Amino acid sequence: MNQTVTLSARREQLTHHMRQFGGIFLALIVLCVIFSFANHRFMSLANFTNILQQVAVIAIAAFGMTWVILLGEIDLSIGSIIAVAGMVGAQMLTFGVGFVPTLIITLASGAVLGLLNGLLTAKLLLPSFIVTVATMSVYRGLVSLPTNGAPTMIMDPAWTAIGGDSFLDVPIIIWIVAALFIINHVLLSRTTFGRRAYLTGGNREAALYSGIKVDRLKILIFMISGVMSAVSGVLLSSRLYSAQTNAGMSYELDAIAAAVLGGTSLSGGSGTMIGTLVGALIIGVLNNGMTMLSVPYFYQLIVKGLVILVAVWLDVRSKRRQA
Amino acid sequence: MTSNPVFEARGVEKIFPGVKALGGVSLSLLPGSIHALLGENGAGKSTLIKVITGVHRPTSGEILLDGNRVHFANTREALAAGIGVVHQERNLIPRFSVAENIHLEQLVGRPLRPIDYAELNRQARQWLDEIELDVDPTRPVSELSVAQTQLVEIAKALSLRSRVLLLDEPTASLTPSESQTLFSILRRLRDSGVSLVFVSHKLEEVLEICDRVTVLRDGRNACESQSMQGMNRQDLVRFMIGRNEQAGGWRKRDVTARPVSMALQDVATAAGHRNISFSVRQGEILGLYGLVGAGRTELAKAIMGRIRVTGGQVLIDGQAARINSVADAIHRYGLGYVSEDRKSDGLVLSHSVLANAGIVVWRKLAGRFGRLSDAAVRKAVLPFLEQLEVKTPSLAQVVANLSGGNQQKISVAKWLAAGVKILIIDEPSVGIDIKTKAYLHQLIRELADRGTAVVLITSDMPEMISLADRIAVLDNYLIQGEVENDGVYDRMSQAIMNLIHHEAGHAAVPA
Ligand SMILES: Nc1ncnc2c1ncn2[C@@H]1O[C@H](COP(=O)(O)OP(=O)(O)OP(=O)(O)O)[C@@H](O)[C@H]1O
Ligand SMILES: [Mg+2]
Repeated sequence: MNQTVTLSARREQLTHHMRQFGGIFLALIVLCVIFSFANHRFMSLANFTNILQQVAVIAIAAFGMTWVILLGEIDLSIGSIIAVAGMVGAQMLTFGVGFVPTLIITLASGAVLGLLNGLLTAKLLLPSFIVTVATMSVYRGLVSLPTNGAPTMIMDPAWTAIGGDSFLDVPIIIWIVAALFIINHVLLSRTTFGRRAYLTGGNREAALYSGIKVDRLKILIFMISGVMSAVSGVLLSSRLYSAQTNAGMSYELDAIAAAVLGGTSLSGGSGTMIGTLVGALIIGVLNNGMTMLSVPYFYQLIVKGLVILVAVWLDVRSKRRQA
Repeated sequence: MTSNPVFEARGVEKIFPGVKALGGVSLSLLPGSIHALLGENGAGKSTLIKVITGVHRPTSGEILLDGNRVHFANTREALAAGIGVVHQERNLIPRFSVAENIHLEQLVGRPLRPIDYAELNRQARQWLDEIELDVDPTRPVSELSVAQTQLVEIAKALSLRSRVLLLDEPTASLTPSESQTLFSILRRLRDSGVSLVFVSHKLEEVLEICDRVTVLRDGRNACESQSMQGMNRQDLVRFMIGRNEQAGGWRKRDVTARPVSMALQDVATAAGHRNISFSVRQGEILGLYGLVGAGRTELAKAIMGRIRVTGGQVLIDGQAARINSVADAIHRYGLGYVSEDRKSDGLVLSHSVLANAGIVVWRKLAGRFGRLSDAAVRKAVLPFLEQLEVKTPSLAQVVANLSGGNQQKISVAKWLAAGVKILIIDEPSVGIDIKTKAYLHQLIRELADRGTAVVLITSDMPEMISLADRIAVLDNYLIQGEVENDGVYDRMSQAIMNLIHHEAGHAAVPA
């Protein structure tokens, strides 16, 4: 074996990470610099807090999406799960159920919807793309059942505090994003569960022959995605003081964009939570910066799409270089 | 030999990020000759072949065809110039039929013309007959075994009728009889003036059919292209590893006193096995021999719970085992399986050496809540990677960037570290060089000596005879008989071949 094998583990990892995220971090910094030149108010603590708050819903959903994509699957139903969760919470609160039980049941509803996606994918061997296109529609329909499509107001002070209040001068919503980021990150990068996900996404047959219960893993990961979406749903409904039937519409696309911008490979087997967080921030910074510059919405859409294309292209190119 | 070289490579250099694969290599090929290209794992053989055929762009150096400098930007240009190749790794499209794969190059050349499938299949049949491969040309390649896909690749290369044909370890997964068929074709091509390059780690084959040789060591010529006349095995070994080969042959191991670890009783499988009965004791190495298509790998997969067992039973430590999934086999019954197909069943090519080598020890090393550090994994697998001399710039290197033999070492090493009770090893030394093969055999013997029951599947007869205590012969999904191994090659191989041809050989013991 080459002498270099004994190279310190730490340095190896560092260079590895640099290669992996260098481009994406750079993109984030470049965007920030551009926007702060264009508008001096952009570079302020208040605005960054604002961006983080705006990005929270997407970022949390994207953490779940990262697990799914890592496995070589896709979950298009998360926007609908966001809406279902908001409605479940709003309805229970309206019927006078307490905050804590409501929260638990809301998150559990996300887990159940995720479980359904997972069972259909793993046990019926249907492609997750098809399964979640279908459940996206079914779940979206479910949202309107209790109210025939009308929004439900939320008065509960604890529920609305999640999206509005601060703890130690930092908005609660940011604490939640930070906590979920750390949990997902540790789970993915420091545990056997995370390693199994990478392995299964990288080569399903090899995972099977290594004794991994691939089906169970897949179901669990769809459940994680469901729960993360439910958290997003809670945050969103809390910020809007209501549950809306069209809440979270097309958020799955932003979540996918965040994960892919962050270097998660759509063919499975690679990706990180840090990358996804940065990816979500890029989307947030773009939205925020362009709004501050009063760029019309349709231009924002065009720019956002182009930035995603360029970033992913740069990423793919740099990876191909190394190969 | 006075003829001019038909092909020459001079001072070829190829640098990958962090790895100098070739540092100024030369190769010269004469028409009507079979040229051996030898070297240890990672010496640069495949890289040289890829540079010659336009897969990789050389960092520097020149390539001459008929004395003229040429430059291939891609594989199709090389093909057009009459240079054909069978790469070490399979490059077939799994969902396409055998016939479509064989004619892939012709098919992509004319996108709009309708395909005459009857004609396509008829032509494919012809090439398959040539290499005596009995598969239906309309079958998708994904259904074939590793050896069969290798033969399809060879048929495909033959169908291109190239002037220069490069074969990178074409016999790696073949049994001797299939190799012999291939050799007679190669000799015929040679006699018609084709210039062939033959890469193999099986030196008996090299000595049998090659007339010229080039040896690489660490990306340089250990010897220039020269005639092989008068060279023997030891000369080749010295060029390759710089010293003589270590002898580490068969030794008698008595395990009759040990308890039976695994026994199959009248097992039938969904793959078509019937009445399969054999047993393996703790510390015993049971060989499972058979020709390509005999059903050995399928039997292993059935034991592992990947193919349904439809009859009979599998006993583990005397108890009937209910194995419904590979996870059951591994976690409940302590089985392990080194797959013959490292690329599809063994490795994650896009992941690092460390991630791949550690897979099956994760569970054992994990702390509370499944916490696991790279350092722990590193400690567990490094000794095995070192003993097998895995050549890699670092443990973070992506496995896809390693040479074929080094990938194979990782696919095997991962199970050696696992500490299982029963290990089924399917073609462990495919593509591994002679030096490492000796180390690998040593590791397998040590594993058995520590009490592991080993079922060894290998098409490499010398390997079988130097490792196994007992050899069961499988043919056509049936056990044809067993022979007690005494380590004497000629007698054993004769007894095995007799069983395959259904004659009760004198050494055969009824199962
Ligand atoms: N794409 C690549 N990127 C980085 N390194 C590579 C790449 N391909 C090959 N190498 C390195 O180049 C060296 C030569 O590899 P090569 O595949 O040519 O060896 P080989 O002689 O064919 O070995 P084997 O007998 O195992 O097939 C090895 O050290 C390998 O790790
Ligand atoms: Mg090679």
